[in-house]
Amino acid sequence: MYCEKCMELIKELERSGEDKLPHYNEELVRQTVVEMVQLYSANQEDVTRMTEGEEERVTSVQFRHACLERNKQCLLAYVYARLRRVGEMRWVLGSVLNTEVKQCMSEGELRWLAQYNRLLAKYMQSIGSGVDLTGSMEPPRSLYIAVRAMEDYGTIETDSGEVVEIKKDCQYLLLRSQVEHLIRLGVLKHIES
Amino acid sequence: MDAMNDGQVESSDNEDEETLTSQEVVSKLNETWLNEKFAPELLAPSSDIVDCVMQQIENLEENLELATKQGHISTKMPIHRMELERLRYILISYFRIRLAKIESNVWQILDEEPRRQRLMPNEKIFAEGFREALANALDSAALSKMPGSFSKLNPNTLINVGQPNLNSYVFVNVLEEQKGLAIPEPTRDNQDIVTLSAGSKHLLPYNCIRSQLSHGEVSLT
Repeated sequence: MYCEKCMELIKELERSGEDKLPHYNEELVRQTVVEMVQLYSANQEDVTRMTEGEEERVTSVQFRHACLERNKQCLLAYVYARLRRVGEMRWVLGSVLNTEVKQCMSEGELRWLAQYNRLLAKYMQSIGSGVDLTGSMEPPRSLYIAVRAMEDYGTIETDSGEVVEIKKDCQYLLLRSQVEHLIRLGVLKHIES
Repeated sequence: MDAMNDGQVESSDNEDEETLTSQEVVSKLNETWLNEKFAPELLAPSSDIVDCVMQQIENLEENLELATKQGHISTKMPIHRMELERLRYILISYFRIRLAKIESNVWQILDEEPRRQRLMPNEKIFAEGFREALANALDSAALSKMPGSFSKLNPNTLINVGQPNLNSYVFVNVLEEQKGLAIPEPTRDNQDIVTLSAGSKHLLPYNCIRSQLSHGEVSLT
């Protein structure tokens, strides 16, 4: 049956959950495109036959056209939804994504991410110097927060010039604004008393 | 130290140069932020409030730095710092919400006149770049492989991508009394004509109070 492959692509995205990125399904995309090319050439043939007088082929032309539209719609929806998800990941994980995520992305998505990063950087600069829109994702409840390190991260420098070394299982009391992005990355864990 | 946050800030506004206290600026920022957060569509930007607040933030930061350098540590400092963090959060959240709305509805916002006017100049640059990047990515991943006329994007359908639902319900704070407001009945085609008294709160479809919101007669909460 036509359009099954493009539906598979959509179902794959649905099943993976809203914030996960499954591997780019190069194979299914290719198969959908091949189906589109086949439908289109069959239609072209039918249209030439119709101009020669075989009027009854009009229904199959319409049917194939509907399948072509459906294929296009699903394919575009797949690519677009993935691009938006990649963008959302950038907000959470930072401008450099780790290799695991990059492996799931296609080349076009990587290129798009680089462009998106540039656009964001330019926008943030235009607001004012040193404004980071990815900081302060939650309303601040307190100035300092107690965190525990989940892994060895190395040294970070705070605004006041202090150098703090992050070692696994050690607890620290740090300014919220300094460690927010580390909490998001999972390096530090907020200890709630 | 006392002059830190209680001073007067001039609204870099218009002809009559109104001077707002910093408290008024912050409450205006709050209102703008909440309106933008709960409205389904992109609202007109409040560049003057934004500029004011950015300046306040800068002043606060400078004063705090100066005070630490000079060794004037006082018990008020953590409070000022928290104030700074809170202001920063609201401002950044405001920008982020606008950016998210632009990203999800970029074709319609750039193509339709009233919406395009609501973009700040740097947002417009971002939106145009974003639209172009999207078109390139869609083209290279899918469109260029499609046969015949299917390889083009149809601008009429693009406008519908991410269209905001203008009938979604919002909680409304009535600031000025509204007489003769028409509210469509959800089940029939009739309209109810109601009067909303100042200071009351209601849950209404966004469409009903859209123009009142742009004139500041109601606010969202």
